[in-house]
Amino acid sequence: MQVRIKIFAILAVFSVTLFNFSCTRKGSMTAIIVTGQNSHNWQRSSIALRSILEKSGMFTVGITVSPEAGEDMSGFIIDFSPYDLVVLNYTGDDWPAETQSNFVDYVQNGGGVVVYHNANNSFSDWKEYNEIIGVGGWNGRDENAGPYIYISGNEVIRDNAPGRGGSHGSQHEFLIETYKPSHPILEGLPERWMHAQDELYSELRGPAKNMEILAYAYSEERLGGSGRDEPLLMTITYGKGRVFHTALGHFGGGSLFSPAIECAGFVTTFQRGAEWAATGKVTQEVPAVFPTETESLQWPFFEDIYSDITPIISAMQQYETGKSNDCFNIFMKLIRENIDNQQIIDEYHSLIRQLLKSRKTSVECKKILLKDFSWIADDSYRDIYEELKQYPELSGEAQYAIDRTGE
Amino acid sequence: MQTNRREFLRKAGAVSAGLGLFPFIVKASVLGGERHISPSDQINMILIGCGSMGRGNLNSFLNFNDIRVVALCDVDDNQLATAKKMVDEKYGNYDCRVYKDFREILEKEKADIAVLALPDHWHALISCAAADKKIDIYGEKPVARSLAESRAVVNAVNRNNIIWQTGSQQRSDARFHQAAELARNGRIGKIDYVEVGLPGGGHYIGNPPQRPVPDGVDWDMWLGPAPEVPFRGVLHWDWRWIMDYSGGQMTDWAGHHIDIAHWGLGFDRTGPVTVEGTGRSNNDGIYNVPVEYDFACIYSNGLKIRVANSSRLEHGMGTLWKGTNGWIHVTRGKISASDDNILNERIGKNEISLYKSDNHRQNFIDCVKSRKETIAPAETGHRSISVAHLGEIAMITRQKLYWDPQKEKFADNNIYATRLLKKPYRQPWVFPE
Repeated sequence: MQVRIKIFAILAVFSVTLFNFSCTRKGSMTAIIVTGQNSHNWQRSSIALRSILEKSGMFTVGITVSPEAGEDMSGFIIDFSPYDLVVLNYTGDDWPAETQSNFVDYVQNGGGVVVYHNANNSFSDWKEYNEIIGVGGWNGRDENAGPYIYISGNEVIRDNAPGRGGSHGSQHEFLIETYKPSHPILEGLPERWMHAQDELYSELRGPAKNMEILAYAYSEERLGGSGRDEPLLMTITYGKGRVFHTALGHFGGGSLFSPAIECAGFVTTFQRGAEWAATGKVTQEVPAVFPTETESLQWPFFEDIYSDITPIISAMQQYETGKSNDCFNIFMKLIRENIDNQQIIDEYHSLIRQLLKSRKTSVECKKILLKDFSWIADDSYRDIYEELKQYPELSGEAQYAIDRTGE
Repeated sequence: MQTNRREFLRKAGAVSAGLGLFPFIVKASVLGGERHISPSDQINMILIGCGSMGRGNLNSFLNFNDIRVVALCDVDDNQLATAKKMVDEKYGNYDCRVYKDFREILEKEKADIAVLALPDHWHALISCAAADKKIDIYGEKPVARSLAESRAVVNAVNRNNIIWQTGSQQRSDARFHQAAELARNGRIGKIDYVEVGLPGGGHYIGNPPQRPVPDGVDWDMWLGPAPEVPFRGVLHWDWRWIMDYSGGQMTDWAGHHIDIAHWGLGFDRTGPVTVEGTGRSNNDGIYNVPVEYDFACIYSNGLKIRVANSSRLEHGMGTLWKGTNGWIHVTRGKISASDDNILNERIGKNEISLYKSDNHRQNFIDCVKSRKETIAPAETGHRSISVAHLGEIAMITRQKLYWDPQKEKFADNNIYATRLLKKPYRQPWVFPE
């Protein structure tokens, strides 16, 4: 894992210097995603965010990756001034003072910023950062960070009650409700739409100066929420700079995919929010497809972004108990989607058989393939099942697969 | 001294077997006709599964004067002790016996009735074993974890001629009865669409680490026919979020609101002809049951039942029948209709009068004595949960399923779906054919 991150870091930094290597439509504006430390899967989410921005046709996007947590940060100097947009996907060690002051100057002088999800967890002690993001949570935030901000009876409440900043209940789909429908970012979009499964950030607090709430959702107590209408899409102005803050888009640390980031509502507001932060206007057309009040909707382009299944197969092969089993769920989803296409299913059979045969495949992976993937098996598995039955650590699962396919 | 019913049965069986007078197959039906507990007789009850549901049932049955709780069984000493304390306090003695192995309680105790409240993956094996001992059963819903197991339970109940009550107690609730009877008697015209809202739910716990099995728990026995896995802290209640043991809220509640839907349609002995739909589980972690789902069942008369997690439906939880002249909706504590007058309608003498019970457990005991059919017999419970089992299979394969409700087979011989009708059993447990 360590090695993979390092390789990724090299590639990502490479992409900063070689902007022209971006493979999709290139926009005339430039954006930089700042990441590298984050309890969430910043590798995958950064790829997704880059694709989302590039698909808008407005941005060419680079990704800059910090040293790992605890390592020497002194070389992590960023000059933000060349960029039209800075996307924050970073929660971790303090940036060097030079990068901090570069960032404040950049925003002060009219730069555009997008604060993405748990970037609002970062830097609880950095005053200017908190004024730029408006509200934040966790990392020791309490009443000293500023009031709780939420909506009650159509009023924005600034609640100075003591208590920790930042919480969320269990992940679920929830209804996004527009508070400022006339704002350029939201203009023309449905005023209520179902967001895909996500963490619903609640009890955020901060200085919230010059902050406007664009949309919110009700954080249900029965799901571990606050029982309040919680702001989730915000804009902030800081000096001449414009900030779009989306608290949506959770991408779990062990996960390969995220329904939240794939949601067409997240994507559309992210693209429009980015344009607004960079230019103060939104020229993008309202998309033809959008979630309804009752049905969330995956952004269609995500199929392209994640079409390479190599990382899924590799994650399956290395699976150990306690790691994410997301890869198996995704692979099963692919099987289901192609169940009537014999050619594709045969390719999947071949992949599963290889995984079952390979000595490099973890025992835990083989157990799951024997148990949860045997309903799809055909005769070509019989010998493998019989062979695996000889291994004491797999005999129970192999027998399960034999019984399941026996009749 | 009174002769215990079970003892009588055993003696009768031994006699007929010893003399070799009758073909074996005759036994059940002959005995079925003669079996009788006179109203004054004491009914000996055993409880298998002493968790929260089991203890809830126990608490009620302890208040029946004609019932004597003679023994309890659970794989967890802690639950067993809690339940035994309830019995001992009620009876003022320590007579109630305890067992950790259901085979032993069934073998040693002279039980007339068994009350079963177990994780779903254990339902079929223990129900069939108790039925084969000629013990009448009050079994919690769903009848079983898989469709094939559920059919096996019905067969065991039938071949042993025992009384079975499914724990779908909404049938003994006046509101549900009224709603189903109005629907059944055409008070909203011809019904062509039904919506059933069940809870979504199921929370996220990720992949908790392996940990020691708590003292007093027989983990291997808890797993039983389910695949062997290390203990990760999931034991009581929360087994319902893992597919090896349960289908989540969907299969938990199908036995209630789909059951009521069927009742109001007269579908207690049939099932859908096509099923298709989708479900979504948590992306990650050991809790893998569908937390959101939406599937449609078409019946042979063209009627459609949509089953979904309640937040997707306008009326939320419960059962909604829509007919040519209006709709009726019923859920716990509330009945409503497109027009209030519908709810004031009386059912006439010449109309269909649905089985009436005001107390689900009392109805079971009455039937144990009278040998009449209960309000929620095995076949009915099986047909109710079959809908959710088929929905689950449709979600796993993501195919449209073509079902033959008479033969209980897939009409197009879908091999994937057929495999999913039952779950392979871990040795040494054997599927109760």
